[in-house]
Amino acid sequence: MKRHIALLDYALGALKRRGRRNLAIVFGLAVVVGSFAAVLFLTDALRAEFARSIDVTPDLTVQRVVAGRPALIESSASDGLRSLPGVRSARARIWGYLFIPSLEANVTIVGRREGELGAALATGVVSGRDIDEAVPGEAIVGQALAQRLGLHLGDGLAVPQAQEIRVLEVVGLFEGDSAIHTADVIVVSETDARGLLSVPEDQATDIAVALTTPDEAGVVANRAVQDLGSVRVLDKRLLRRTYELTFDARGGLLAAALVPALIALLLLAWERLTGLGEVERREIGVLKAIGWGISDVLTARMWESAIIAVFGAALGLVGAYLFVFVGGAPGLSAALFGWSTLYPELDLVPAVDAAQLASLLGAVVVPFVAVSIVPAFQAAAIDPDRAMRGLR
Amino acid sequence: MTQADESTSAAARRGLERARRRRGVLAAASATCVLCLVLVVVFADRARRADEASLPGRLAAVELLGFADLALNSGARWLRHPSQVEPAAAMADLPAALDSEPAGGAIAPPVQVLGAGARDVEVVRGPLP
Repeated sequence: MKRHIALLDYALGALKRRGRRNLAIVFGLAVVVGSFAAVLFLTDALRAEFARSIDVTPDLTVQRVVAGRPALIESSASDGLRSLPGVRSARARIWGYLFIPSLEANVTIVGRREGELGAALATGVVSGRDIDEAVPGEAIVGQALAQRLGLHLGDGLAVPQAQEIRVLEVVGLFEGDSAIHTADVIVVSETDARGLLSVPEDQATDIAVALTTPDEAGVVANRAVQDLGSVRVLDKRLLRRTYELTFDARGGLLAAALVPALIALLLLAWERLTGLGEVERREIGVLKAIGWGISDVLTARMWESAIIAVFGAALGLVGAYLFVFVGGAPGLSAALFGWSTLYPELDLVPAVDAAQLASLLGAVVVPFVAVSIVPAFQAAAIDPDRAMRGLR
Repeated sequence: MTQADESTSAAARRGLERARRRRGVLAAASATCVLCLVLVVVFADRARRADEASLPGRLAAVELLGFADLALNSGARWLRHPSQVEPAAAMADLPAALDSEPAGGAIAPPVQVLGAGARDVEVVRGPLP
């Protein structure tokens, strides 16, 4: 113990003597760890949000496929699906997109029946009131969309149609908590949705199916394909996996883009640690002449590397947390999300577990300490006589 | 004790004092690091708890909409609801594959392509007649 304290004292003195160089390496390590950690934090927060939400979506979604592309499906197909064993409910849904040139964005139009907003209103996620199906043109609007257009409760939105202009009255607004799902959404009655999206009376965008036993999804999906012909059935459980893969792939690509930065840092550390200066060589020579062994020099150098690695990593992790969850990950979020003009105000929730953090630190800190072993050994193997005389 | 011995022991004392100071600095810096990391864990936990409170509202909104896709791509129709429109979207993100959207691009795609034929909306100030 005493030996280690003495070696730690020496390592601290050495760190102080080469303060600027070591600070530069701490900073470099913090940037690399922080960059990897920021990608991990952001990706995991989004993945967790999707995973939490998908539980309340329909077990199966049935879409008509024409020429390999999603097309409108007959509303009556829901009756056939409802009669299948294991199906709790089947509902034809009307939804789609409307491009708004001045926003350069698509808004999602969702058709819903009166009364279906009960839970949303009760939880306070929607302010205002429910749409009244008897009154045409009532709408509930997402927060980002309302902010961009400057819409308030009671305002109207004139939407051009093929032959007319339909005015939607804002009777409700989605609150900020739900922005990650509802930022660009307009909920209207099914009749209005049909009008806005030009969906004929007997057709629907897709059919949402709820099952009594979700494990029967495969069986029901097969029956749906047999009965309805050219349809695509989306299974909620598979979608969950697909979405995870999407974020894994995007996060992975970003992380892969950061690998050169890690390699550059390791090269820098290698170069800095191998390039022993005249003073350092003489110092090690003196130490060995007064009785230090190879293991003492090696341990002292490892202490130096470990202190740099621990402080760099801790600084990087704290920085990444602040960058993502306090600062909203400017720059990085744009790279991960893709181009959009109606970004929701993200209130991301940390979802990283200890194992992921450990693997992140293992991927950056362990190579850093490993890369310092060889230079440390080289330093420890210096011949004291030659070192003190300034010979190589 | 000779003068040389005295100066040597004084130098040793100074050395020990410096070492003690450096250990103190290391201990303080380590404590700060640990404190920062603990604070991060505490804030993360608090954020999760706060999220638990707002979760029912978000889930009600998702249930109302019928899909859990995140509102991150309002520019490209085919990416706003990848689970509904392109269920195999993950496969489009292979390394070196052409990205189906200009992710991370500083310059937006030509919006005329996205909005070909679209007509603009107009805000009508309430109360409506």
